[in-house]
Amino acid sequence: MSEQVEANKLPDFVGEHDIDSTTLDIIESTLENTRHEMDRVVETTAISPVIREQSDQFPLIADPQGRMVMGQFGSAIDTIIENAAVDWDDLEEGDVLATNDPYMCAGAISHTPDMLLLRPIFYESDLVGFSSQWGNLMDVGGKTPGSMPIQARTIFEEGIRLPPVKLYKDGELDEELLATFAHNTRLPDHAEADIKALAAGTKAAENRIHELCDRFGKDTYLEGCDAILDRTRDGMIDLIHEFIPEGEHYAFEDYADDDGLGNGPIKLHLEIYREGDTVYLDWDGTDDQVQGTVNFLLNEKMFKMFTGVFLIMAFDPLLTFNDGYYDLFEVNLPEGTVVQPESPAPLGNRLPLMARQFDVLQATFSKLIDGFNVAGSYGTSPNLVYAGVDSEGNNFQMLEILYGGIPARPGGDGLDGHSWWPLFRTVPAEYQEAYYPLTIEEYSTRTDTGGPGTYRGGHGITKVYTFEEDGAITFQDDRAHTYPWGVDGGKHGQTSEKKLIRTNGTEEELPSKVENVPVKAGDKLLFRTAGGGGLGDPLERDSERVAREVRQGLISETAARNEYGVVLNHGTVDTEATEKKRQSIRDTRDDPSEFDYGPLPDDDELAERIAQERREFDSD
Amino acid sequence: MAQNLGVDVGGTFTDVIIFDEETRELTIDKVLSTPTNPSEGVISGISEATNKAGIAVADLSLLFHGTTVVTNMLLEETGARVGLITTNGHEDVLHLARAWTPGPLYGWMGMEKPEPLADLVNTRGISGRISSPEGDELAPIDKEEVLATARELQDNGIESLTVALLNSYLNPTHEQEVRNIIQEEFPDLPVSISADIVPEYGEYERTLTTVINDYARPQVIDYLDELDESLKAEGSTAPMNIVRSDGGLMSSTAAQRRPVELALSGPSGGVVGAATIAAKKGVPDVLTLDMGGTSTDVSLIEDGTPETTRQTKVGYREFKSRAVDVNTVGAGGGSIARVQLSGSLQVGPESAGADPGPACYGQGGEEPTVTDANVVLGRIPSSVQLGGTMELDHKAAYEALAVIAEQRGHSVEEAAQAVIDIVNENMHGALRVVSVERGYDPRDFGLVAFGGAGPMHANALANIMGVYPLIIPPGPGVMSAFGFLTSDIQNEFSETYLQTDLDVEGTDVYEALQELKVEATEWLDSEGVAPDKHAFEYYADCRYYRQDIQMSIPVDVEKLRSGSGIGEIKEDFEVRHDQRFGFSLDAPLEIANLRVIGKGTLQGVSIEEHEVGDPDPSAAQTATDEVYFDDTVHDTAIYDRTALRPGHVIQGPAIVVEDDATIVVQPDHEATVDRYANIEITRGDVR
Repeated sequence: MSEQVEANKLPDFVGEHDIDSTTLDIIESTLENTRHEMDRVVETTAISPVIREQSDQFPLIADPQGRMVMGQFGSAIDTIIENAAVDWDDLEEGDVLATNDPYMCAGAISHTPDMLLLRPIFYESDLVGFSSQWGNLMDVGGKTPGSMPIQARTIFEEGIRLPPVKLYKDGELDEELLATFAHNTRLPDHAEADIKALAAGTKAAENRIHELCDRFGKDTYLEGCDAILDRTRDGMIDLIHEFIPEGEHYAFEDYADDDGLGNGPIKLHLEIYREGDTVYLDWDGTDDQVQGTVNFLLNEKMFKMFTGVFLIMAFDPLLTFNDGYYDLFEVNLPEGTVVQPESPAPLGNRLPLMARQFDVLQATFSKLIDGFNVAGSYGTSPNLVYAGVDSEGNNFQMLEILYGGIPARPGGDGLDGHSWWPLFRTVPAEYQEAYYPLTIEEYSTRTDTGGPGTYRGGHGITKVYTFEEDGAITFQDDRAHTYPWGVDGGKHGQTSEKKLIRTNGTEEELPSKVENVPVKAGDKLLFRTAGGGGLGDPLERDSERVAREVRQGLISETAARNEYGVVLNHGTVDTEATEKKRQSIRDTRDDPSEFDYGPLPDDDELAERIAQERREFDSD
Repeated sequence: MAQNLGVDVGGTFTDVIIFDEETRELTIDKVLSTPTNPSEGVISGISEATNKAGIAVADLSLLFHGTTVVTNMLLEETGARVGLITTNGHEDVLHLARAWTPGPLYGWMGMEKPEPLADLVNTRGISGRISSPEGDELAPIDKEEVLATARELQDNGIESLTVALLNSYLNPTHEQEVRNIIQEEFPDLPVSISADIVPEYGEYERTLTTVINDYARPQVIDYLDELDESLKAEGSTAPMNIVRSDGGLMSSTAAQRRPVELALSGPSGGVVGAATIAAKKGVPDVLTLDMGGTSTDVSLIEDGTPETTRQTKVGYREFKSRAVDVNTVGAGGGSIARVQLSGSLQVGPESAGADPGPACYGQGGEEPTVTDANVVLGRIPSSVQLGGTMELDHKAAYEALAVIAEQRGHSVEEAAQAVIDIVNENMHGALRVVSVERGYDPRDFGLVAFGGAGPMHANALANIMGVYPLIIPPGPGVMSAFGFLTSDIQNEFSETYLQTDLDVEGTDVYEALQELKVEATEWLDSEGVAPDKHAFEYYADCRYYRQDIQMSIPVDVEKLRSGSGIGEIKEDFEVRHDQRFGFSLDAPLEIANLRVIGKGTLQGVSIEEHEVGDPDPSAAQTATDEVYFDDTVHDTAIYDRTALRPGHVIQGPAIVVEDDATIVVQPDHEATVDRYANIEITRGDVR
């Protein structure tokens, strides 16, 4: 109730701003540069490959009320301080709060390996803002290496959690607290170094903000923060009015496969409509939270951020995004659903639902906005942990994030084997081979797995590992049962697959989510990720482009003929045969539906298939 | 009579500078570049400049050449058809491109990803495998397979070939074997192997860098051959030294083998020249600002040595090649100013270029540019004629800025000042990246400004950042060509080391560096550098075990054999880590790479020292104009630089005009002509 009142109040930064526009531009561009500087500091000083090679970390700069002025994922600073042992008034210069408990920050971080640091920034004894940075630690303890078990039933099995506490007091690191935390992880050296690197990132922002206050004065700096928020809010009002029709309701739903315990498919349902300046986003109709670890504690403000960023990136990429437009979005997240689970539900593998939430958001907008379409993606952020003790008695633990097919986009093909996360990168095979006991036999594009379309969906990838020491693997993926959808006549992409090939040649198909599967030296793992969906009628795709992709090995000649109607003769387009083939496909096919979900059985049968797969795997 | 010549091929102009060792005079000339056949412009520039200096091409004793040929080839994608041979299963290494998409969230929606420079059609995997980290052979190379692959690629019409195999940084024998097999059958096909170009871990970056090398090779081979022949035809016997991205020099033959090292050849010259001038003046720590028509290059020079980087970026592609650490922003005289929907004013990165150019050029350009803003404020005196011939169109500049004024509710002068403030801020941001972000306090540095537009903006930037003295060298428009004359023969030899201080002793590191020194010595010999001119620098790229950072720590090799061993390297590293990031770790030191830089000194130019005379500059004053500074109009003296003499002192505000640049001296500043003919600007309260 109080939140409702809060939401309808005009934010205090709206209005006239006593700051000249050039100074404002300078403050804005400095904060923008600072954000990237924070990332660079963390990337270069951290030691975990997920941070240093894969850039899994997110920076943020906020105003004194805790509103994100510059950053990526939006701010939950007020919630964090509310849940902290300290109060707003207890914050002092040189303090850094740390937490890795998603339930203590309303899901601002979404699983326990993400460590969030928050530094209040003071100038002449006054609070002038916050900087915050979070990153994915290699391990925080719990029942599996990497702390993302598949079979946990509660968050207590997912490792040690820090509630929001002061890790640094008055500039001094609480060494005992850090040591206590690190002691509970499998890789204490990594944890200590990475947490210090995150702190260095937040410090970089403090230095820059001090410089801005030196240069322009504290009051001008703060006025600037308000004006930046207000400017974004104005821009968002324009976008909303231009692109979101008023009155009509649009809904979309899609499924994540399963929770790794045989429960699935898991439905996400989103409805969007606009009244005046306000856009309503309603997750009612989404499935209840599940037993397994795929629950995704979606932070309400973060979801507003995602929605705004989507509109900005689609239609006005130069607009800065920040918390300025929060009051323009109203979100309903029903308690007890997979997007708002109740503590202590486990959260370790929230990635399928996090990724699906992005997919569903872009699909709903595809329905809503005339002439704008994006297809479905590879659908999660697949990851693999390989751990054990090598023959010399040393512990090893590798964590890797993998990528798949980026969906076809307005005006362009999807990207093969790329990341929907911004700025992430693969770990080089040469890094993995140098530091871990394994060989990378193959890292390649999965031909024909991206959905056909006028614009083709990106292909998934195949990565083949040969393990050189006995150990165990834990991984999670999705889109093994459901398909990345195609849109507007484009076809669905292909599903993911995993296979173990034992040294004696026997092959074992594995489900998309497994925990601590023992492997022997010499065993091979084939990790294949899903493609992305296609956009538009594949028969409209430029036939020369199709021929070229056949020559490049990205499309098979069979797919060229059957999906695109392109007939090749020694690698070049046979124009006459192509026209004929395309005509015959047009004559015999049904009218395409708006979305192509692939050859899915009905819900009950799909649920039975998923349960059956898990029963068979568990009995092996 | 020794005459040395430096020639810098830019996008628009080719600059030539000749230094006469006897008279110590410099001759400067500019001709239009000829992008379709760049050697033409070089030849015509050389003959024009030699004519101007009254000498023959045959009189030249040393030639120094920097070029944007490779840079442009990469930006415009006009290089060769490259074949690529990889390890089986890793053929898609460039296509998958480490999966990177730009930020922010949803950045993939608008990502434009160019095709790999080696087309998948011309990419093949072969058998053979090297283990890691041991570097042992797991599976051999199959000669018949290699030959069949090469023939297929040859039939596809490739013009050059890259061999980049997994783990070759640990053991290059497979790559060498493949190259030998192919060169025996196809002796005319340029083949590069990745272990030669980047002997470091990271298959994507190593492959990409080597492919870029081969992408540029066929054209660079032809270009330098043509140049060589034309100069020989003119009777020249002078050796041609090519300027590398790191500001060093290499022979024409070496450049034909490693053209990837030329990717930033152009901008490096100015930085090296600035370092020489500043060091001579006794200001060894400076920032540099090279502002041209479309972009600005900035860098940091510490103790007379430009900072270098191992990551070079041209357009979308970031690859591993040693380069002067130049940070480029899209801010230049031609940068266009626009008011965004949100009301914010943006300047650049789009540029009006040379055609139509800024509105004040009167060639039909209508969009307001930085140069137009300078014209409106009176910073470019009406007496100045662009390129000596072109009249400035003041009215057009005023009208162009009036559009911005109306959108922002300002006067036209205020709008012009805002445009200047924003473009200065963009350059300020770039200067911060190379200074503040790397742990340096800019106030400990001076600033050297050059390029066509640098001297106009530098004083305002120096004022914001507190970097003094500001030094404007003579001939700021041809600083790169001048810098070439100050360069040394130079090449770097490195190996991936990946050892921690727990595993190796100082003597092990010493031995490894000695091996690299042998390589460097052989190379210097092959470049014709006499043994007494050899010089070597030793570096260890350090980090805490498993970090991604690589901090280059200078190594005193003799100390490695004494008691301190690696300890000294670690101490130095920890100090720098703490300075830059504010923390250190209780973790082993890892040496990621060892490097030896072999140098051979060439004396292309020496800087003339003059007698310092009377401070009164009035003889050089040509006019008094109304110029807008700090929200109001000031009566401002205009000086002719050619009439200024060492010792002259000018009080700001003032404007100094010369052939290729205009120098703005801000109010409350003082400009002095020093004994090397630089103009040195200081602020009353900072000396």
